[in-house]
Amino acid sequence: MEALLRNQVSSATFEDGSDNALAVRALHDPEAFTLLYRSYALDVYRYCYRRLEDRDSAEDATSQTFVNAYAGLRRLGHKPFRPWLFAIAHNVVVDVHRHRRPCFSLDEADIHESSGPSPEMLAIDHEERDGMQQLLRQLSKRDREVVELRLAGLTGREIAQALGCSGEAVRAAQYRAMRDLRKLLNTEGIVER
Amino acid sequence: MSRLRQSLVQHSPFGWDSLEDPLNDGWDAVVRRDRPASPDAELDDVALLRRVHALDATTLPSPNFLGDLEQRLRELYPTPGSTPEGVSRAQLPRFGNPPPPSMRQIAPPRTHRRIFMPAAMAVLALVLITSLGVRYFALPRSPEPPAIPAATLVEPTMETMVQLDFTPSDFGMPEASTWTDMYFNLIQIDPGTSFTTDTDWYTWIDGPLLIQVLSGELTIHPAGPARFYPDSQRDQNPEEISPGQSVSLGPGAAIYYSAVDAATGSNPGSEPVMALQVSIGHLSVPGTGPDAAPIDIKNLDRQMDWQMDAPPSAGASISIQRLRLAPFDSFVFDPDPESTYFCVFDPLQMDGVRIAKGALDGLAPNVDTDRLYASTQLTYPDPGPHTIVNLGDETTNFYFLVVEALPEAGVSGA
Repeated sequence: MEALLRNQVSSATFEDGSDNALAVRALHDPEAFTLLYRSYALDVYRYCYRRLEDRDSAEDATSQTFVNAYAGLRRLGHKPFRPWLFAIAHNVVVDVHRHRRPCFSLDEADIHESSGPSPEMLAIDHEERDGMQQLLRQLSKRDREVVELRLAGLTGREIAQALGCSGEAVRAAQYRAMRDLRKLLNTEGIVER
Repeated sequence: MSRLRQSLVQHSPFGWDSLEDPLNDGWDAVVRRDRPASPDAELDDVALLRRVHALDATTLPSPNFLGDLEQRLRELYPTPGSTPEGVSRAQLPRFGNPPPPSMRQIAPPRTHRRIFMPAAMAVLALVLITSLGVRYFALPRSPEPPAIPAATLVEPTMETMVQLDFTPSDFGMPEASTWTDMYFNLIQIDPGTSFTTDTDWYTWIDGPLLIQVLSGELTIHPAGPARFYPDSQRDQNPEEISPGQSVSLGPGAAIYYSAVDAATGSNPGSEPVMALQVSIGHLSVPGTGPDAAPIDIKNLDRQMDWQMDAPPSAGASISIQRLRLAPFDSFVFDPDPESTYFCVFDPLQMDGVRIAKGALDGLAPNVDTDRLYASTQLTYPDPGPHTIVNLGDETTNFYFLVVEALPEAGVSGA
């Protein structure tokens, strides 16, 4: 599927193929927006999946990301398109996390403790089967954020733009992540696919 | 060094690019499926990163998902010849979207009738002017013209709802200069429900936790010492609360304690409690208490930063300010780019609220405005002033968390 999408993009002909030029055209040209969509739909979906760990939620978040991108095209200005798009995806995922927080009252807490495997434990079981999730779970929140955007194909500079942080912060996170990844891959016996 | 990198370094304000390092270069090469541009790149690192990327095996989306979404996105565009009104609301995105320029730019198909348009327009204009003139002179004179709502704009201002001066001695918390994380939440607690902050969601922050009630009644039972502001809008003098003592917070009341000290709370009333919750400090993972997300608290809006600019001082001033816009109110929003602040609001209250670039006296039809649908638009605005206008039927509230350095004790502010 990925190869198909990439081929569709590469075979497309347009005068100025840069993302930002397409974004300008996309203000009034659905074909231009479609080209951008095809370029990034799968990357955005994968990013959302990694953050949300559920296909349905990732699909919803991907839809919302592109709808928000469409609505915000006029505000893109001179900002580079890809980090801008992933900043939107990041915000959508944060919103999803915010709305999916589990709720239970203190009175029910004892019941939860004495029942069978919790949803969290089931989720962890699922994650254990995925080497990447296994790795990511062991990184700190900040470092994980950076690695997830790396896996989505962003460069260091684009990650800084997407997260609205300094290049120095990204650089530091990368070093910490690298140190931890090296250690984890050497000692934890992560199953490679 | 690649040309791109050279260019970036040259444009860096200090001539040095913080991302100009071998690891970043190697990782960039991995994501681009290219060779590292720098000869300094560590090949071991690059090999390890390739291994990491090879592990990534995300479940693909449903077979029809990408195609269906592409079709839905295409349908967001107006069909040629349609007007903005012709676009079905069902096609508009969930967060709402302003009609893109395209909707105005796409002209209806022209026909031969346009040849006669200038003459027709001239006749129409003549008839219109004549009838207006007749009506104007037939009207009885009044001493004062009637007020037009848009011409009688009041000037709303930011009002401080609560302000506390944080000092490191407060409940044994670290200095403000160590702060890295800041959370500002608009929350709702339903009637009859309880919650606890004894989970690492709260306790991984080692700074102050502040709750201010906007409506309803909230009972809080802090395990450690706390400071209670019974009516923070009228009286900023707090009461000291002993560990284990319960307090009841009505609208406007606030309580403040160290986030590492747990507290429980409940809504004993019959109405939902609306409140603002602030956590600031240095993130230390894991925190104390169970690993669990907030309990029985609904987040209506949230802003967070995990790389905040810490105040360059041991102490800090933390305030919550409110901007209230009645229908037809406008406010010029021009925050200092150096200030540390967050904005939250209830997104459901934002129908009819628009934002325009620039400091405007009022809205004219030709002013380009956007719908205000997310507090991020005010937390991270484009540079320069913006004008917020409430064109809806209801009063809307915007809440701002502002953090400022507090002068050291004994240092003159003059």
